[in-house]
Amino acid sequence: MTPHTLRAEWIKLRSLRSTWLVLAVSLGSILMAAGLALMANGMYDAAPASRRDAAQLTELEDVVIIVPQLCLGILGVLAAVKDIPASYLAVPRRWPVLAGKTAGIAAIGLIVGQAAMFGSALVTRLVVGDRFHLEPLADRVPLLVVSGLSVVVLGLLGLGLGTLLRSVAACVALLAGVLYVFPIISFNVPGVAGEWGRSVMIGGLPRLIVGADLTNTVYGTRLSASGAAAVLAAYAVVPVLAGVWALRRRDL
Amino acid sequence: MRAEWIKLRSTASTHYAVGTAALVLVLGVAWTLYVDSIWHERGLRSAAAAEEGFLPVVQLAVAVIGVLAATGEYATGLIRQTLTVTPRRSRLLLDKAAVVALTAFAVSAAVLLATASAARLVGDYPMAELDVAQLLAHALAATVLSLAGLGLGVVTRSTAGAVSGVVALLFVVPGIVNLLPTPWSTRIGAFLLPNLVPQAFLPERAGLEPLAAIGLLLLYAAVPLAAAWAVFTRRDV
Repeated sequence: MTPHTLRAEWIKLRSLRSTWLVLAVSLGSILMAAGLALMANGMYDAAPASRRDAAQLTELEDVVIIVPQLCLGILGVLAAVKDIPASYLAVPRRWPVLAGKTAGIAAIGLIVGQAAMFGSALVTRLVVGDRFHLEPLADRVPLLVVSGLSVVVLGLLGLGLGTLLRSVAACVALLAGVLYVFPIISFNVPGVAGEWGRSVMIGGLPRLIVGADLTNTVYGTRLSASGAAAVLAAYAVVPVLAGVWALRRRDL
Repeated sequence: MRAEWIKLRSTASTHYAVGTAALVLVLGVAWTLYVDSIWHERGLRSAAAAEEGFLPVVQLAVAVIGVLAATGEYATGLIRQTLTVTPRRSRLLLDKAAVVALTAFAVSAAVLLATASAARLVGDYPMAELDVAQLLAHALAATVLSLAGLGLGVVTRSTAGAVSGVVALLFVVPGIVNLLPTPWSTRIGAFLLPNLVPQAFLPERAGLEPLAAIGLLLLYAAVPLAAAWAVFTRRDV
């Protein structure tokens, strides 16, 4: 990777219209959290005082995180699929181009992921005020950071898949597969296989990594914290390496 | 219409999508054998039948066929030639919709029926009885999704945008609504696409009347197609 390819990839990425759309939708997750919190407020205030103490609110950043995850995944796919022939004429050695794209997507993912997680956690707390006894923000910092990093992972997963398969439709469908279809199937499989499936789902990994309580969730607990970190990293590293491998062997 | 059929049939991505859907049959048999082994070993109260577990795979694959029927031509630029040869746009859109609908229904019905029958042939564990009408309703829902994909594809002219739209309809919105506080999750949930077929067949579950559910299901195809018609007949390409 030279400063040239890095700069070129950065300019390409930032001048795509889809990049900005994806960023806007990603950060829209903060507004979504605010809207959901307002709705929850309405219900809380309408409930009789005796039932208010028992009222609980799901952590809204866990609900909306799927939006930046999916968005970065799509951005990664688009960055890989959209401009391949011209780039490889200009930069005949291929891995620097992919390295530049990886750096760009990782940087965007890092910023968007952290912004979306901390933004929605903060906004939720501002909107609900002292209702619902939410966990203090300070206690959730490790989980918010790691959940935000899962957005980077999705971006790189999209980039790797895009490089490997070169088809937007297949890659976006696969992203939906990883984020939704695989979990749905895992929930329905009984026995050890289902337990393992529920343990390696992206949604549960951040909680496993920071050692959060998983007793009331759908996720499995087969992995240790370091094992979960390794699996989360593998979701990003394996597809990107597979992309490098494919690029070295292929015509275009 | 014949032209649209040849286009759809000869595109590699259609083959991949149909292949993915067909893979469900293989996965379904593997699933059934696995669940069976657990059932024989230590018993199970109940477990989902294979066709139920892999339904989202079929839905997604068929939806992608619909999207690509529209955006595939935009991506290659061949839509210009198509429009030169077939300048009547309402007719073109209608033919595309017909071909997509027939293909989507045939593929999803065949895969679901085959998987369900294979599961019951291979497996001994207790699963819900084979209900052909319900499976056909699921195939209808997959067809609706495919047509919604076609409509979104024409409107956005972007594969990524349209596939994301379908994914939002199928997974993202229901996922978020599911996590809303209780009266809202069921109230709004009743109107969401994945919940319509179950409501049509399990009327005892509070929600929409069966006919209303099917009607709403058809709206999920009609609205994106109407939007597609509105922009397609007014736009340059």
